[in-house]
Amino acid sequence: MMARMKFLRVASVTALSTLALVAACSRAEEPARPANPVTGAASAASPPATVVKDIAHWQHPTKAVFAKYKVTLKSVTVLDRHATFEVVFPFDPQTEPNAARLQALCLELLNANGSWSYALVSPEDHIEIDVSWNPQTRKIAIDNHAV
Amino acid sequence: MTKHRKHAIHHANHSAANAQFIAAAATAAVQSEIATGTPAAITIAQAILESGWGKHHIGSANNYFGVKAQKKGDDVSWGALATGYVNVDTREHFKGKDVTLSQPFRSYSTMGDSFTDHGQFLAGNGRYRQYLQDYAANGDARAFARGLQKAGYATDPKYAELLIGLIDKYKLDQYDVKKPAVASAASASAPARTMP
Repeated sequence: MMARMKFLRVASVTALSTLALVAACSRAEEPARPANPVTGAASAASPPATVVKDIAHWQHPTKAVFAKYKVTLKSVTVLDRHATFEVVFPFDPQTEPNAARLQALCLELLNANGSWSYALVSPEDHIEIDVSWNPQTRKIAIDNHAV
Repeated sequence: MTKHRKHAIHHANHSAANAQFIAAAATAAVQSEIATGTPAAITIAQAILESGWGKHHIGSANNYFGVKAQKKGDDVSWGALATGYVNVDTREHFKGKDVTLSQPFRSYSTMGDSFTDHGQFLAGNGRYRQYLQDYAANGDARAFARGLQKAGYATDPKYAELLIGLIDKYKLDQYDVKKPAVASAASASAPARTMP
């Protein structure tokens, strides 16, 4: 029991630290590629995943992009500098008529995420969309696979 | 040749090309409806809209519905009906500069495989399940078009109208394997014609 309580306390402190860092990050005028795209935390070798579920109190430039496209953000998981956004799409992200809209969303999110690669996961659509940017080749890839 | 006559010839050529596309698409769409339950009329109308009357199917990929290959890391898969994939690079603006956007699309041997793969996508997608069940019960392709819109197939608020407009203009519902329940019921309940 004590061990469980201690774990919860540590988790809570971690969450508060995360929020503070995120708030600091979001205040920056230019989201200039922070060490960690969502938490702003200093990079470390294989850090534990950070999960944000309290989206209402979470601040980040990507939130405005999700709102613009009416995409519901359910949670954010950051692991080793890579953010995974769990979302609910108001449109089918796999159809040709929605391709331009999805592409615009992905590029705006990439910009808001400081050009860090990220993934969108939609359990409802059983799909993960991976968006990556290679500054050397100046190439953006938008790939998807089933989940 | 007068301007009016040139226009008439252009229109006739255009109509002939469209009729040719519908004839080819109908065979593929019927094959898809038999395999997946997706209305043939809808598949043809979608192919018209999404491939611009068959003019754009990703080079020689025969991909009429822009279906992407699945890619995770270096692993690429393309399902049972496609034969491979092609990477399509486009020029986009990102942060005010030109960049390359690369996306993998499935490639097919035939138009029929592309149409059936599209039908399988709709049949296997929870967004459209209810509307496919309704179509199986009532054979109403126009209601299915409205269902696609509600389910988010396209964000264009006029998408269902566009599909229905094409179905009406080119009488595409003649290709539906499943016929409307009302018409079937009417013909079943009609009194047998007897000689006076």
